Amino acid sequence: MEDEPLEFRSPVAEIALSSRAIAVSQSANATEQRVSELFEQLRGRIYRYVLVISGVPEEAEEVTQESFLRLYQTLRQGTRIDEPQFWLFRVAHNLTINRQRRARFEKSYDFATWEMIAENRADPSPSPEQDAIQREKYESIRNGLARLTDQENRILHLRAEGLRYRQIAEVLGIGKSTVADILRGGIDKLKAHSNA
Amino acid sequence: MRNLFPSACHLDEQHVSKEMLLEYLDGELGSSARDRIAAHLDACWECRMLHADIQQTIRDFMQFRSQALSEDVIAAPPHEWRNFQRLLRQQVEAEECHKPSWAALSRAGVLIDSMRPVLARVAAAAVAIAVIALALTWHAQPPALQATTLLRQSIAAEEFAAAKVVVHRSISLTEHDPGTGRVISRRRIESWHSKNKRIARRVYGTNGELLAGEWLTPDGARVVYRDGKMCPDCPPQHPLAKNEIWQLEPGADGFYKVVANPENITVEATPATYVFKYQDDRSGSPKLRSASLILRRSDLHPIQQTLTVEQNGKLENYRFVEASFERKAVDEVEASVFNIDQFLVAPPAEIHPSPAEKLVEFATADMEVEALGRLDDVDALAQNQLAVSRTHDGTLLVAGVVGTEERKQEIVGALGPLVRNPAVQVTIYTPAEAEQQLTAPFERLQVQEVEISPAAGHGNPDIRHFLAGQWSGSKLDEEVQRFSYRVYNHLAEAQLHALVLRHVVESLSESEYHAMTPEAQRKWRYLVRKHGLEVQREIRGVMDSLSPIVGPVVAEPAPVHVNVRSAALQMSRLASSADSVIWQALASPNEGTSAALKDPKLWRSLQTLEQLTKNILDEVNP
Repeated sequence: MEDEPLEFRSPVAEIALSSRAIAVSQSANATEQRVSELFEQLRGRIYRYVLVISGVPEEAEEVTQESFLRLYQTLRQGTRIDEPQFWLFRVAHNLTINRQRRARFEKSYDFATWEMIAENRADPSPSPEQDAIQREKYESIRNGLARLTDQENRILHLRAEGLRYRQIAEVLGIGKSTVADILRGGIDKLKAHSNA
Repeated sequence: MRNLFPSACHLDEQHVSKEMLLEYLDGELGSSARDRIAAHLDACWECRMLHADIQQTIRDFMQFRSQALSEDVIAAPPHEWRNFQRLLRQQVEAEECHKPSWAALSRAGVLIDSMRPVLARVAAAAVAIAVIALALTWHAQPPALQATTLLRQSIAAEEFAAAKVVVHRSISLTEHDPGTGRVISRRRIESWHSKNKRIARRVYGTNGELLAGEWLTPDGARVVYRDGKMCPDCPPQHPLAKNEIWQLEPGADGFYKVVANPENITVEATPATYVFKYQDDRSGSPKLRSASLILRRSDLHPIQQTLTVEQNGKLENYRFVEASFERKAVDEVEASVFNIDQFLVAPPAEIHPSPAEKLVEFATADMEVEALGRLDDVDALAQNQLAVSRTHDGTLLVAGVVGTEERKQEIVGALGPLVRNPAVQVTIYTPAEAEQQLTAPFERLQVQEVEISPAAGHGNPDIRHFLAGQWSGSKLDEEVQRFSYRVYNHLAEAQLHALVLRHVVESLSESEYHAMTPEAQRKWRYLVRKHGLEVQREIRGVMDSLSPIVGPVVAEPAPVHVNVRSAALQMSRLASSADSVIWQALASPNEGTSAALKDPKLWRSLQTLEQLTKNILDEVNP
């Protein structure tokens, strides 16, 4: 079983688009070109995920760039990568966790930051009443999110990025059934708060 | 008989469970379960409300998320991706610029080895020209830029050198008193680097004892051993901290990592080396006050590095000297050099009777396999469907609900020393305890005994016809029922073992499998093989029972996965869909027609299951 690529098929069209396997015989310039294209296409999603799990925009940017540079190096070393977008999520996740272990940054996107960003970005609602309803709803979601464990948080966001349970399991190095359990736990917590 | 999927099999009597509903919404279910749930949702308002509730929660979450992490937040990180194209370009250039000279060096090495002096001199001349060219380029550039350029070239050269081979370095690390120069401690570092950034680094004391280690896999996963323990959650440390410093073996990349202002690096050329120096007068803790790195001039290979670090107001001086360096073909190197040392994950057998005896505070793949094996010994995986999984924080969970207190004790007893391991959390409940303790996430682990009765009416007409030759009257009814039970039982058992097999297969990633001890690998293969054989036997049982009744059915097996993981997944899905077809044919008097038993799709599933099992068994054979 050593040399066979694991199979990660995703029906999400958006993912499929960026998931074309990259040929290993490409020249350095062709690889650079392909990595640049992927960078344009996927950097936002990788950055968003790392931002959520790291909480530090500067670090998220660095980790995202480092992941794409590793993609280039890995391809140039002759490794075939079947689903680059998913590979990138995994590498970005591992790099973030390694950095967290080195205590460069330790917290998930903290809730003061969530709040600040949500406040700044809130769409002007048509009426104060609707604005109040909206705020109340976000408040309850924020409370729900604050109660999620790190793993619940990661899994919810990876799922929101369109990854399937199997892919999430590989990114996080856990079993697929664990992904389903933890995801359900997360949804339950959010549900409990949005109904509260 | 056990009912494997109560909620799926008896939708008419039971509501859809929450976990199935979420998997249904996420498109994670097989087509037969999906169809059954869709049909149930059509009929049941209560489940439809739960369905809508989950959808609403997801919608709220996504709305909030898109608000908080909107496109323009994502599009504009702090440095707006300014560095990326430059960094990528540097990599390409470094690779292209260094590749030919490295190739020349390699060729020179090979030729000198094969005693062809004339050609060797030509090759050596090529190297000399390359070095002169390099020196000329250097003089043409401002000094600071030249230092960083050379360092970058060295990084590229080292990476290129490691691309197709395994690199092994032995490094002597000494700590000196900065005042007197006296040696305070001596260490030996053995490091192994393979292509794809697989790294193992071990630090030994003067008596050959392992003091620390670091293992990295190509996807960036990292395990550290230091201060006498495996460290998934050791207190975070600065890279220059006393017990972290061994990770900085001589090299341009490590040098860059610890230097705060690369523009302050200077370089001097000696006849054989480049000497890089760095000075930082600002104080701090821990803080790099000065550093030096020596590269061999011929191939830019790092051979020595010194670091002076200020720590809590005191200076510490470290010297790394490369004692040996070798490049080996991949097949010349024992794969185990990249694995975590066996005694760190399991103590030597002569000291402890069981590999799980040692109190490892971090659940490893070996431990998970050990737990699976022990549970399987008392049939707890198949019979009780216990869940075994590792959490991200290094805990091994064994959870489930079993019928009686005696059974619980039997299972806990079977886990043996694992129960006392702090990294293992066993949550096995009897139904009474479960009622008191369990919260929603564990609901699905409850075993529900639901009486099922295939052939409730007259049974499948073909089976009846087949048996009517031998029996009649009420005896015939009884035999039809017995026959149907037997067929269904085979399939239920096949399905059960397919699930266990999948559980065992999915318990590890491929890299974890390769990092395990040979003993754990053997155990894992044994479990896969055992349940694979069971599936094979039961599927054969179904086919042998039905063949005389349905006669020849033309069905080609579907294409199957050869990868064990994918095969196990495909197998458990197929077993579940075959189950629903057979159930229809046997249990439902109205729909139980001969067509269902002869359905080529059913036979295709059975044959595919056989093929999959065969593939898995072939793969895991020693």
